[in-house]
Amino acid sequence: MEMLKSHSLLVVKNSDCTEYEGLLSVLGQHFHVRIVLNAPGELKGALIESEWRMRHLLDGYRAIIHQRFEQCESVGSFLLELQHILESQLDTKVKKSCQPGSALPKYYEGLLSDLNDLGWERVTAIDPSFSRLTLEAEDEAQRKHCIKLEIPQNYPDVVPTFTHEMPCDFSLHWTPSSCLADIFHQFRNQLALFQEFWDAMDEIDSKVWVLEPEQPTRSCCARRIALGQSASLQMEVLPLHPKHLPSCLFLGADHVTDPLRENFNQNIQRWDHTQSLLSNLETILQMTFPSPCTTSKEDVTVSCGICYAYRLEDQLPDQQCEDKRCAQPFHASCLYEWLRSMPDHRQSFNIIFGQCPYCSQPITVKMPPR
Amino acid sequence: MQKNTRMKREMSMLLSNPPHGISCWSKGDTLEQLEAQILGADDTPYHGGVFKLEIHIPDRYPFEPPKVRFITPIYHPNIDNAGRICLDSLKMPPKGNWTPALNLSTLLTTVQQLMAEPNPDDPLMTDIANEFRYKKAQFETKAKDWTTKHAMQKKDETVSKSADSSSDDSLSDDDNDPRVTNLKRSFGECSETNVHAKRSKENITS
Repeated sequence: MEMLKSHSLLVVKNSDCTEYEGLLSVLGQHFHVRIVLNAPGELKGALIESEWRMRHLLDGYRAIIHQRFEQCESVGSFLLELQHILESQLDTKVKKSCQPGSALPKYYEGLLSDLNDLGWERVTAIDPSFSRLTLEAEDEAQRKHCIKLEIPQNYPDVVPTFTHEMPCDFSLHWTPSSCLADIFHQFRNQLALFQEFWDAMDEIDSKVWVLEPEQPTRSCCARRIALGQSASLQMEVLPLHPKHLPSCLFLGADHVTDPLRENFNQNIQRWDHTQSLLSNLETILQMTFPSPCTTSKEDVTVSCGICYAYRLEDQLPDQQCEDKRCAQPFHASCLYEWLRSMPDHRQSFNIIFGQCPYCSQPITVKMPPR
Repeated sequence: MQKNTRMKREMSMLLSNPPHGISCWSKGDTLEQLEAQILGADDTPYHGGVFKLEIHIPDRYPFEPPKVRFITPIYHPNIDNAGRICLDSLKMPPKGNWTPALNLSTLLTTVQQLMAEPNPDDPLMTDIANEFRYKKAQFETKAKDWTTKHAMQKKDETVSKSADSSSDDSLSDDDNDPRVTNLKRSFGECSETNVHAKRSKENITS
């Protein structure tokens, strides 16, 4: 009877006092439970039945419960023990749920109203937990740009992290009262800064043969342009000053690149900031670049003379026979492998001296890094 | 890794643009075992014959030359009974002059050229080489005979059956061949050749 005072939601089901059924309240939650004893007042070997929520909580505690059955003197003290176990379990569960994964309604409310303000047509992707969004903006030239946002659990107190495809980093100006529309606005302002840069890059990508990267991203400032067979220009454009002279490197055999380098140095004063990057380059190099409209890729790329491929695990055939009549390009690793297997090769530090497999003229290659 | 990229390119080149009188294809699914055919050129004793070759591409190709061997018996100073070919391009330096600049197409063309112009100064079969040098007419007759016997494509199926049954005859025929007597002479020191010769004989009869 004492027990029924502390657990008022439990009732005795029979006159022998061997069966109890009712609700057990723990931290404001009620669990349906039924206990069957072997004999009145005898807790040893008793049976406890409960709903799945409670069973789930007690998962892994079966041994302890049986121990409690053995130790406890009355049903009341057992129920107290059970309550303690459930309480501690519920506690840890609540703590876990505060971590990312299952967010609070407030978070979603804030986010949804933000998204409504922003306009759903700007959202291109969203993940099921609503924590990763992709927004898309169009710039003046109808180029599409994406920004990927990761919304923190305590949004909007903490600034969302983001990734974008812009050549320069930018930081968000953020206050707890800011919303997604603010981010979007700042993102568009940033895009406006690079209009000239993307215009210049688009011109290059469409009008000349770009050897590298194969599929340039919007953030990529480097381009390797084909100048002709086995000669190319590696340049790095300044994203904020795309009409300025970019840093240029000439790749290829000396007899092809030397005259170009000479032109470049002689005409460098003729660089005109009002002209486009491409036309400036053509002016100072005094040449027209091979264009995809008039030449095929095979005309500007010559595959390696050893493996017959152009691209070998991200390597390009940039080692070239110095003999002008041969000028056969090779991948460094292919040439190294062949020269090394020749009985008459010489090695000095990390440079191997041997003969071109095509024309037998002297050729050297640096040991590729392993 | 160079082997794969290179073999793919080479096979497509051989398919789309095969050298004159040469065809080459892969035996199985892999690009390791290949087979090739060379047509005997006009004005040579091999004219009218189709010579089958077997090509093995080593793992280190193109840093190592492929192994090329005649399957069809051929009477030639630089090709032995086992079908092995004595050709500089098929050997690694310093003995030979294989370079990755060569490929299957150029190699097979070189073999074709060797068939048309034997090199008696670097013979594999000395007797045939001497015959080629001093009794050209006799050499040409024998080479033609061999071509007719082994390299001509059969007109109908029954011919191949009769070739099977007459395998004993062909053995006794060979006793008169200088290359077989040569083989017998060198039997003690070069038993390996004999094994190959036997195998190639099996190839002939089968």
